[in-house]
Parts: sequence; C-alpha cells; structure tokens
Amino acid sequence: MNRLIKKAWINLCGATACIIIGALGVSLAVKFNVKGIVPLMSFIIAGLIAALITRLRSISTGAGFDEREKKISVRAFIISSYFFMFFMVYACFIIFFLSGARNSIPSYTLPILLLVGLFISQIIHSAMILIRFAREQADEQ
Amino acid sequence: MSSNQITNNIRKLRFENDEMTQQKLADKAGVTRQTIIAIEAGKYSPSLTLAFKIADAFGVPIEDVFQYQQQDLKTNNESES
Repeated sequence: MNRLIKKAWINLCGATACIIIGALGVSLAVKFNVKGIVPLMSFIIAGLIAALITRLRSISTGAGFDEREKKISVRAFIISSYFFMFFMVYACFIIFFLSGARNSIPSYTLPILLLVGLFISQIIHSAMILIRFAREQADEQ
Repeated sequence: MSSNQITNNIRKLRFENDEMTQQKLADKAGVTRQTIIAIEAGKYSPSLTLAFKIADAFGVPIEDVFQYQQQDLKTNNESES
C-alpha cells in the first residue's frame, strides 16, 4: 500500500469520525439550546481554515509523492471542490425555494451546511483516490 | 481530429538491462513501482523530466525509450502503402 492510499484511508476514516462527532455535537448544542457558543465556533472555524490551508499546501507541493500520484490527488481535489461548490449552491437554493422568500431558517442551518459540505467533499476526495488505485490494481491483474 | 499516443520500449529495455525489475527502475527514476507499471502499459504519459530520468536509467537517448505517434498520420501512411 503506497503513501497516497494510506493518506486517503486516513482522510476517509477521519472525515467519517468528524461527521459522527460533529453531528452529535451540533445535535446536543441545538437540543439544549446552548448559548455562549461563539468562542467555541470561532475556534472550530479557525481550525477548519488552518486545516484547509495545510491541505492546499500539501496538495500543491505534493511532498513525498511522485508526479502521477500528485496528478491523481489534484484531480480528486478538483472533483471534490466542484462537488462542494455545487452542494453549497443547490443547498442554498433548495432552502430558499422550500422556505420561501420571506421566511426565516434556524441559525444553525448554515454552519451545518458548511460542515456537511466540507466533510462530504473530503469523503469524495479520498474515495476518488481509492477508486482510481483500485481500478489500476484490477487492470494489473 | 487527431489522437496522439506515446509508445515506449521500457519493457524491452528492462530485459536488455539484466532483466531490471520495475522496482529498480522506479528507484532509479525516483517514482513508485505503480507509476512505472502505468507508464509501461501506456496508461500514463510521464513528464519530460521523468522521461529523461527513465532514459538516463537505461543509459540511452530519450527517443530510444519513448516514441510519439500521431494516429491520423499513421493511418494516412498505412493507406498510402
């Protein structure tokens, strides 16, 4: 198993764990109507931005990977980014059309949308890499 | 519309060079064995740098390893002959 496949599996497991923990956390926060959550949310958003910058840097430099692996990783990243963009666009419009122009939505909807979009795009990124390598291994045999 | 293809003699050259393994070639070129497999099978076209490294590993000019074939030209030549 090469490094890129290992990294994809770690990302896949990490994203899945984050979805479960994040969903539990948000559900609890909504259920108990937690207030004063702004510092915690700021911390989470700062962490997300730092993770995104680190990720973009690691993809652009591709440290430790050869040119083909970098190409596979970049292609998977582009596909997952497109997914994220379309997900956000569709989610925003669906909410708009469902709730109507003059209605309001709960305040937790937007961060949930953002987190779900990010995590699903992570899963797509890892899945694209794993599928590509699985197809190549199948071709080898 | 023309479809371009890069063919290679890596397999032949490996066997001519003391049956060099794909792993050994990969180590010399600084890539993974999977990349060599993909190039050898014609599923991945290497960058110019990697192509030179592979040629260098065999100690031959790059044109002895990789050949560029333009599909429509080849078809025309075949129909003429």
